[in-house]
Amino acid sequence: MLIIQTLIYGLAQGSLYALLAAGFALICGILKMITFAHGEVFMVGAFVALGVIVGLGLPPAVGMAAAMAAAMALGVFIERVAFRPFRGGSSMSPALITIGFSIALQALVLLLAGADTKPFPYGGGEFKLTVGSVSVSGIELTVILASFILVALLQLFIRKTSWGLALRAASMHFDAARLMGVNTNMTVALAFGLASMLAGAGGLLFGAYYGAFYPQMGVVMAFKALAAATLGGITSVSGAVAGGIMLGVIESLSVLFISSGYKDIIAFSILILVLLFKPSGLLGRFEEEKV
Amino acid sequence: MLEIRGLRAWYGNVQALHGIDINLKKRELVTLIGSNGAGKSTTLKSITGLLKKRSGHILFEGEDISFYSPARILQAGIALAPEGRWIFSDLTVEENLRMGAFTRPRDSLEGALEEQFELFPILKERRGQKGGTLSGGEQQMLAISRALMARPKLLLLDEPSLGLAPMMVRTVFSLIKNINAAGTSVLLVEQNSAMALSIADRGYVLSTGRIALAETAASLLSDTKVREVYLGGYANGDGI
Ligand SMILES: Nc1ncnc2c1ncn2[C@@H]1O[C@H](COP(=O)(O)OP(=O)(O)O)[C@@H](O)[C@H]1O
Ligand SMILES: [Mg+2]
Repeated sequence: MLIIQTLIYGLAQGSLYALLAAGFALICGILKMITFAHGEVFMVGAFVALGVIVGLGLPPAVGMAAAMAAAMALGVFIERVAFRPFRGGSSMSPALITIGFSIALQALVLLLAGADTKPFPYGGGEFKLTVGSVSVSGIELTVILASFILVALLQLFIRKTSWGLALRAASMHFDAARLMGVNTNMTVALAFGLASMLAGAGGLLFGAYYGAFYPQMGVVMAFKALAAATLGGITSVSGAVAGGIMLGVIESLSVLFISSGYKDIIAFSILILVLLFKPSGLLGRFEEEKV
Repeated sequence: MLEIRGLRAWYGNVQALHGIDINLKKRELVTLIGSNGAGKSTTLKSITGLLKKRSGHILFEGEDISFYSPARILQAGIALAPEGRWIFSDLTVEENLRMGAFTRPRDSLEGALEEQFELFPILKERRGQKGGTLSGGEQQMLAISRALMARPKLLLLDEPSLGLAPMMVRTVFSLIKNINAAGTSVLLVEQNSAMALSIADRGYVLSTGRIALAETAASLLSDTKVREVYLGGYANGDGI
């Protein structure tokens, strides 16, 4: 039963990675460039939600909506200033600018909110779903379900709407999408908007899950999610999500069977091995040669 | 219908077109030939608005479309089947076709799809298959069909015969002829010059970014200099 319990922890942690990893896949899929400020979009979303929930005393669902809205605005802004001017050029400038954003946003939140780690006002302890010796707390259930719903909504959007079709098309062949009359500036902004909404929601869920909101909360999460996205196949949303869940589960199994000190070493050894043998990731495809 | 005046275009600081003039009348099939690197694709990318760094005027049905976005140019009635086909390889054949009608009202979609499936039965057969899994010839048909989904008045084709087996080349060329006969004007870019001239009304010969010759297709075909320089391998003119 311990193993099932462990898998549930892994699933909760993994779904947080998945929310960020899906965003990396959206952004990297369409621009073939990486943002280094995604963890701070996650963090800003978390703090905005905390402000709404604690500061304004509004319910957590409103906090979640606020987190997603604020993160989306921030993500679209980052695209506008760090990516659009360099479209089609070197990916060095966006990388440097987003690293700058990452540092500046952490500093800004530190100044505004202080360095102390802030708790979440709703404890996760009241509710417990117990089956045999396995028990799932309310917050674990919330994290897993909310992530699942958000990823499902994202998939629905990109599979079933015409904007989703445009997004997928532009990720496959940017110029062909332009040729079809797709407004590619809007499409890229859309990719950043969607990615950031998931990140903002993920920030709140993370803060609530661990009962900890702090300016650096996005740093390690973003790196691990980027690794997870790479593990699954960075240019496919489902691959990245699968990679996120896998990373969470691998980490929790390492804690169970070996020790928590080794979990990162094990997780990243697996990542490196996967990339050595299958550079496009487990579920990714090799990039098509573009003629 | 299409009037290009003094078109110049650049890639960075390198000038690819040095002021070209092209005219195309309604229902005409005009071909633009010339050796590799002459600027044929650049001309088509300029017309469709994909290439931004340029000067000169492009008029379509009297309207100056020089500074239109690719979407507006498409809506004005010009569609391109690009060199290399640019198929969305992970989208299905049907989704590729739907992308072709992206700028059109949604209620016209089903009708346009049915039309294309009638014109290209093979695409109907493959409608649920990923674009990337099609053969070269099928992909070329998909590229042409996707361009037609926009119901263009003027169809631009960039090297539709590239990389196709001779049998398939014939099929594609007779298809182009039929599309034109049905009322769509066509600007056909080809390296397979003899074949292109054999179905075209008129031809332009492009050479290092300049128009070297502009004649009827028949006189270009019989012009010995054109034959020597551009029709080399196809000099014995096995038309359709
Ligand atoms: N993306 C590009 N960047 C820089 N130069 C280019 C690019 N595409 C084409 N060129 C140059 O522009 C000229 C015309 O190319 P193009 O229009 O593709 O010729 P064609 O289609 O007639 O073979 C060539 O000298 C080519 O090297
Ligand atoms: Mg060309």
